[in-house]
Amino acid sequence: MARSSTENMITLMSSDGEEFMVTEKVARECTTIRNMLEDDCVITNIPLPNVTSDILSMVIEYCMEHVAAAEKAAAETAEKGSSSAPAAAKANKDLEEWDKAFMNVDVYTLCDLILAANYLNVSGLLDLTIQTAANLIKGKSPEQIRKTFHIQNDLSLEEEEKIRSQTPWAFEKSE
Amino acid sequence: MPDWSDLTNDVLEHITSFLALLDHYRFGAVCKNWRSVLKLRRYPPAPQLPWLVLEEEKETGKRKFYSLSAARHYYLEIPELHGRYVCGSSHGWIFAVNIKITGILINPFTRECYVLLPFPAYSKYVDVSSLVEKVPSDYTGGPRAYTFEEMQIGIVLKAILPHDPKETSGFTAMIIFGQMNTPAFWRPGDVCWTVIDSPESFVEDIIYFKGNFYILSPENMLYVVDFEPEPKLREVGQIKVEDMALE
Repeated sequence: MARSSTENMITLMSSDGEEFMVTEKVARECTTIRNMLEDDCVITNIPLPNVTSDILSMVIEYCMEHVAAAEKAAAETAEKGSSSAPAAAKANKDLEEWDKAFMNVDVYTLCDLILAANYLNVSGLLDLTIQTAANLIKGKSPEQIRKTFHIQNDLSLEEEEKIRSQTPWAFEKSE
Repeated sequence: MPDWSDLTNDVLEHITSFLALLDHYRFGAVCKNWRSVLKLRRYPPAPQLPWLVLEEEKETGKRKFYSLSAARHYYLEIPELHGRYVCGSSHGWIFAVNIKITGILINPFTRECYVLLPFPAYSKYVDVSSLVEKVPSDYTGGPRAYTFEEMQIGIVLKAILPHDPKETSGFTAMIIFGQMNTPAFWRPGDVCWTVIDSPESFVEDIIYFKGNFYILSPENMLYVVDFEPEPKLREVGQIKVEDMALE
C-alpha cells in the first residue's frame, strides 16, 4: 500500500495491552474512532478496552484490505479519467472473495468480530459478520441452530409448549 | 468465550433482518433471549417468495397460508384477521374487510394495523341500512336485501397499495368498490374516502404502474387517475385486443 510519510499514525491499544500502529485512514474506517478523532484531532493513542488483540488485529486486517481496495479503485479512476466497468467489477469480486475467505472462522471468533464491529462501528464488517451469522441460521431447526452456536436451551417447558401449539413447524428444518 | 444467546437486541435484530419468515420463527424457538427479540418484530422478514393468504381454519380460527417455495400450508394465529375477508395485498400488507364492513390494512408479521374509515357513501350504491343478518327463511325469489356476509365479500372488488405504508407515510390506498366497481382512494390523514368521478358507469379493473393508477372500462377504454387539481380520470385511449395478441 502506498503511504505518504506525512500520514498520521494512530496507536490502538487492545484490552490485553497490545499496541497496534495504523494509519489514520485505516483507523477512520471505525466510525467510533473517526468520531473521537473529529472531536479531538491531536489524539494519537486510543485504548479499546472491549477488544482483545486477536480480534483487533483481524478488524485492522479487514479495514486495511478495504482501504487498499478503495485506494486502488480511486487511483485507477484518476489514471484513466473514468473507471472501466469490467475492471471495477473484477475488483469488487476480488474483494468479495477476500471477505468470504476472511469469514472462514469458528462461531466464537465470529461472535467476537460482531461485538467488535458493533462497538467500533465498522459498518462493512458488521454487515459481513451479521450476514454470515444469518447464513448459518437459514434452513436449520432450533436444535441445529443451538448446536451450531453452542447455545443452551433455556426456554421453559411451558414456553416450548406454547410455541409448539402456535407454530409447530417452527421446530422443523427446511427439507 | 462469547455467548451467542447473550448478544444485544440491536445485533440480534440485525441478524433477523436477513432471515425469511420461516427462519424468523425458528430463530424465536432457540432460547429465551432470541425469543424476546423475535417478539419485538421491528424488522420485516427478508424478501422471499410470497405466502398466499387462504381462508380461516374453522376449528382453530387460525389463518391458513400457502408457501410456494415449501409447497405446503402453514397456519398462523392472527386475531386481527378473524372473520375478515381479504381483498388484496401488497408489500406484505393485507387489505381485509370484517362482517360489519369495516376495512383494515394489516401487516400480519409486525401486526401493525390501520383501521380504515367507513367505505365511501356506499349507501348511494347499496343501502347499508337495509343489510340483514341472513336471508329470510321464507325467501322464495325476487329482489331482497343483501346480507352482511354478501356485502363483506362484495363491497371491495380490489384493493391496491402501491407503497409500503411503513416506508412511505404519504401512501395511497386505492379500491374499486360497490356494485359498479367505483374507484375511490384514501390517504393517511384524509377524513373520508374520496370517490373519483368517472365517465364510465362501471369499472372493469385497476392497476398501479410506474407512479400512476390505471383504470380499465368494460369496453377496454384505459384511463389514468389524475389527483390534481382534483381527482378525475383522464382518457389514455382504447386498448385494441388484436394489438395485444400480436405482441
